Amino acid sequence: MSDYENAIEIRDLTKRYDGFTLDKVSFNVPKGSIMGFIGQNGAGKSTTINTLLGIIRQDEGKYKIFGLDPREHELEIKRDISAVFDELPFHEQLTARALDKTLKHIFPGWSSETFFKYLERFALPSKKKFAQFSKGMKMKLQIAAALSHGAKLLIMDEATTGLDPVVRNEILDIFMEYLQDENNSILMSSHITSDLEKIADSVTFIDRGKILLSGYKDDILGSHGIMKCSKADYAQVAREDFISARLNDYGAELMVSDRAECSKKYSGAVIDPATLDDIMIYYVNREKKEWS
Amino acid sequence: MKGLIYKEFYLSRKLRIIGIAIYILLMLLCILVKLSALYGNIGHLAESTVSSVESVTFYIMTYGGAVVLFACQFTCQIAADEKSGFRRYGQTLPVTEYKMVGAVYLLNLICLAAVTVLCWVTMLIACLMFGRDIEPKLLLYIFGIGCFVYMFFHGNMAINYNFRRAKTAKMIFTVIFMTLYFGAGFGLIHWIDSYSIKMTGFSIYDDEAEDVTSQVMTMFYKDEVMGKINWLGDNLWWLIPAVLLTLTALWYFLSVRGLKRRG
Repeated sequence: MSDYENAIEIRDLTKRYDGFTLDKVSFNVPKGSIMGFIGQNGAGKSTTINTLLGIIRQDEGKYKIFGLDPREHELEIKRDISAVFDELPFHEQLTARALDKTLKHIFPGWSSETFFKYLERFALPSKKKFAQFSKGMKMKLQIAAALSHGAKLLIMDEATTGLDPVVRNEILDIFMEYLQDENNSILMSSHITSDLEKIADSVTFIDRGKILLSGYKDDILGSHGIMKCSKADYAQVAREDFISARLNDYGAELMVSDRAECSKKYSGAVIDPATLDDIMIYYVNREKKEWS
Repeated sequence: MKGLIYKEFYLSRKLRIIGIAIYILLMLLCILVKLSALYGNIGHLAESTVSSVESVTFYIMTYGGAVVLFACQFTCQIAADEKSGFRRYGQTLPVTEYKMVGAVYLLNLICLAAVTVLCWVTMLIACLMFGRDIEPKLLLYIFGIGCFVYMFFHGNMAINYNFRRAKTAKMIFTVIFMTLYFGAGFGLIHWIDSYSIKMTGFSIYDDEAEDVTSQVMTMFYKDEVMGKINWLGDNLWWLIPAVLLTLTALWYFLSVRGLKRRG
């Protein structure tokens, strides 16, 4: 299991629901990296993650984790995976002490010492019931549990949603520490693209069940840009050169996917760097082409 | 599996404590009644009344206590698992569905053994207190109650695992339970009525039967019920554990199948 290149490899993953289809999703999460999985609500992020975690079964397609087929090595893979959800998945009557006693018999690599160290670091009480925890405390608890059994892959579904910037920052620092070990990898779905801009190595963008972009974050941010121009100049721009355009009273802002090429082609045009948020918004509106 | 057993045990500890508290109160009440029959007000009543009170107290102390304990000691946290999101989380754990369901079965089996032993001890004390013979079949009845409640819980569990919507599961369980309950009730009444007509020529619904009803009931219990039980015990005793084991296995595999089903 040690000689794999990608922590996750997904090929043509398809899942059909009434009114929604996860359509041939393919991407890789390289070993030792953190991948941000972005998309609007209902885009298919949770469906993809639930499939990877074995919570739902795909209709078509394959995926491998640590280079292994989950159908044949389900338990072996699950021992080295940690899942973090947007809501605490533990009973509210439990305490951290009881959770430690439960999970230490489930995960062979569980370390009570590590778990209690994280509790101390996050200032979480070990005897208090989870029902009395705040949202931030619950999330920290999940992360403490996820990092206490030597998992090589963290899969997080909207884990930082609803947290204040201070807590989010603290959690992001923990992830950076976790990634110091080059065998560890993270797949993190989030709406908060600013977090991913800070820590992600690569980004995959999904919309309406289809992957629109997947690659290294710096490459994506480097190639995309927002071209600002007047309405008259906008009329001169070829439609295939931009993803979509936001029109306003003064002119237009166009998302271009090849900044260098556009700079050459439309010399004198101002092309600002784009954020992941911008990319997401302009891509979501790609079919309308023009929006305001 | 040990971790899952611990989780189930931890989450159900309050209900267990409540069950034990009710059991202790019930036992104290029974002892109080016995003391009252010996030295208190009940002792001043007619001899037959005292005897009836003692008899009822004996059965409450033995079977009533057993029902209370069995009902509160078995655990079934499916609804809580679903509500808290643990069911989803559980599918990410390195544990097979067989072990997940098995953990609950094993914990309940341990409880069945522990409660049975406790009830046996109580029964022995009750027999000494009320001056009754210690019959082995009484011990078997206690164990039988335990096995019935065990079946009941795991049948409910299998339905819950197979129907994700709690409301649907509850409805199906209620329909099955009510059908069995009323079916058994009406069946028993029909059986008594047939017996009454055969023995006295009166139906239990006839006004003329009123005078002989208590005699018919005693005879029915001694001849019909005990006769059938004894016949079954002598000839087909192996059928009882066979049915129990088959049902347990059926509920177990149905629960595993339900848990294995993914969206």
